[in-house]
Amino acid sequence: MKAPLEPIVGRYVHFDILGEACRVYFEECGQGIPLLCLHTAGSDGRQFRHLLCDEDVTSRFRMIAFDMPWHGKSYPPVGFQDRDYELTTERYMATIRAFVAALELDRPVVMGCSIGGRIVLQLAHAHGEEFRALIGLEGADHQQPWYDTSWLDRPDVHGGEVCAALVSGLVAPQSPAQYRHETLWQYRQSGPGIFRGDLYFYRVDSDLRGKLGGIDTNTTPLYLLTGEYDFSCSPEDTLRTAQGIPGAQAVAMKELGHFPMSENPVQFKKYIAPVLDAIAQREHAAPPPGS
Amino acid sequence: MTEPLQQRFESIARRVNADARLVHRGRYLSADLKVVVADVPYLLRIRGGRVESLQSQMPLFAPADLVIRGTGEAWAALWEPMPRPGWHDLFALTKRGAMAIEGNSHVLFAHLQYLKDVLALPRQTPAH
Repeated sequence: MKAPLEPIVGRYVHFDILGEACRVYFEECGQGIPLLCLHTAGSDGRQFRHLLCDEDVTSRFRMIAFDMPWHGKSYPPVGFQDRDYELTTERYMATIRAFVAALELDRPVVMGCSIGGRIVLQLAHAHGEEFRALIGLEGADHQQPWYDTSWLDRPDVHGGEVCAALVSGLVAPQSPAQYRHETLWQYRQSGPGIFRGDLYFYRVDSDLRGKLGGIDTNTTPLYLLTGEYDFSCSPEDTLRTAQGIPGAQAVAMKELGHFPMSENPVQFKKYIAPVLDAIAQREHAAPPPGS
Repeated sequence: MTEPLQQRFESIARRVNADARLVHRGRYLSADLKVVVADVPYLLRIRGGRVESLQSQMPLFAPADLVIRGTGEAWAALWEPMPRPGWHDLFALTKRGAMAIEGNSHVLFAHLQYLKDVLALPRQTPAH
């Protein structure tokens, strides 16, 4: 075959989430430390396609990105048509832990962005020992709501167009046009009401201020990276969060916005590579407890 | 400082109507926008995605579908070739209090990307 073939492999896995059978699509590439990637609200695992094709990464990490139910190529559970989609902290945590169990991942690293950046804080707080390291991109314990999300899901406004237009301002102006528009395309493709449903978690159900005690960054290192052009989760939000977690490492990323891994993969690599190096070196130096 | 800002804003009419793709994207929008650049109010009349007229002599209490009001600093920052973080988007400016958008929100959200792109046009090159 002469045509370029990417090394990413996509498959479906079946497992239950909160008692409901789910068929979940995931993509993976690489060998080594399992690293689970969590997409942003209203998008899907394609956001991580660049990291999944980066040999510097996949030579040491088994990179896995799944589409949450209702997103990308993962259908909603049977009966979804009779209720509105609403992501709660409980559902999000259950989804991640059920996926890890389904694939029998051994203390994976989890890297999440936006809502994924928020949930890694809760993972660190409630189940830190289950993970080798946690990476929150564009994550903080709380952000002030700044617009009425009802505009994202109503029949007289095109949902895909408005979701993409709204988040377009969160992409850094330096990001290449190709990747800016790929990032926005995923929002244009999102199912009706799904972005808004994800934001229920972000806006209503996950104010973690004052609730992140007991995080042990010696056992599970915690890295928080936020793009300087992200005015939804600003670097100030992230730095404030990190200051409350002993040992958490926070970095403000230049010339990046809310979607670092998909909007400008070259720029993002400058920041994520040292984090992945540190995780790999730690693994090499001292095997995790119980291994 | 105000005059160059006004000139840059006034270039929007020519820029929009010269951009067939932008006009096409706005083809379902016909609205009157009151845009306040620093202390100068403009009436921007859009019909089918084209700028029908742009006038700075706006009568008091003239009706408008949307009112978009920004400080001189806000518009100047938005139109920098590579705008600074937090000054790079209508909503970023709104969130920081340097801009206010009021009126019929349905017009705004139904045509959000078109309106963002129209109001960012002076960023591209000098007006004249």
